[in-house]
Amino acid sequence: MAHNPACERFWPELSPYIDGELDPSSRVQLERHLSACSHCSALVDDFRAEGGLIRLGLDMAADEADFTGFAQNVLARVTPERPPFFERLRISFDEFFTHHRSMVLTSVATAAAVLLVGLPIFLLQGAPQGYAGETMELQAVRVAEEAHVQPVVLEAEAEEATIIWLVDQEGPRRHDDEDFQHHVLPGASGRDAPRPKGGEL
Amino acid sequence: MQRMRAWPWVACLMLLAAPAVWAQDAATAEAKVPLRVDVVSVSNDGDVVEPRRLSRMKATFAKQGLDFSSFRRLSSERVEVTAQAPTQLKLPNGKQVSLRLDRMEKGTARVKVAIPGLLDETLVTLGRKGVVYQAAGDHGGGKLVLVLRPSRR
Repeated sequence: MAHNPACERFWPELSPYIDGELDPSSRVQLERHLSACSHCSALVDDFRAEGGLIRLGLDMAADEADFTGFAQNVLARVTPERPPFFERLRISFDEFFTHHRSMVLTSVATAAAVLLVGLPIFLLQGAPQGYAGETMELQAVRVAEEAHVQPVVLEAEAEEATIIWLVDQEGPRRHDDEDFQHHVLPGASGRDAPRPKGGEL
Repeated sequence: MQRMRAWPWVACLMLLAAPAVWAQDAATAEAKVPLRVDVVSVSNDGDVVEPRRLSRMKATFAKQGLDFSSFRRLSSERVEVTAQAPTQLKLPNGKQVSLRLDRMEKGTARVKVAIPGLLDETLVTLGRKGVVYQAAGDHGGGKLVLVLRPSRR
């Protein structure tokens, strides 16, 4: 196909024109030429068609390729030796604290505030009503007159236990006095209770 | 020197103290205090400790000269003690245990335990730790022991 010699001046600009890389003034001149030159217009159409075909071919080739583990393979080539776990952990922490310092500080402050407010509430809820005291304590014992027994209070401080035992007012002793670490609460049984003489346990 | 009358000051003090007294009474009236009450039979018949955790009780008793070989837990209940009405527990020896909230002061409860015919009253201040063993009469050749322990919930 015959062409105008003036066309040759525009040929180097055809490919950049299709790719949208021409400056505005060059593009205006080329488009003016293309509107008058059927040969160059045909060349532009051919270039576009070829570009489309190449793209389609590349897409098809890409679809057939297996990209499984592509990222790992690339990373493995970039960092052939993986640093130890603690080194990676340290780097992660360093990067985290460097780039998210404000978020870390806010989180720590929030956690501290929640602990300060929540812990006392939790501890108070843990103890049921009536248990503000530290240990169970015996205040007084008064036995029934008709029972004919006397109370003996035995304190086992190591076990934090108090035993209130009832011994017969009269009867044979089973243990020596020294066997008991006992005392009788003053005023028990409504009178000054004597030291118990023991009885059947 | 003019002598100051005392009664206005006494009245003022009573007026000031009244809300505190009223608040304490109200706290006692409204309180529901949980308490763990076990009934344990101790005797020298056999050598059974059931459940095994009663071995601690056995050791405590032995240290105090109360030598029993057999410890059996007959029941274990969590009761709520109030000031309005006594909580009643029936014992295997036919006796009745009555538990009542006697006083609530500064968050600490005082409970009154009574076993008619045996015990007019035992006053126990509750605490988060410790245990009170209250003898509760004869039972099957041995004795019954009421175990008062703090309730966790």
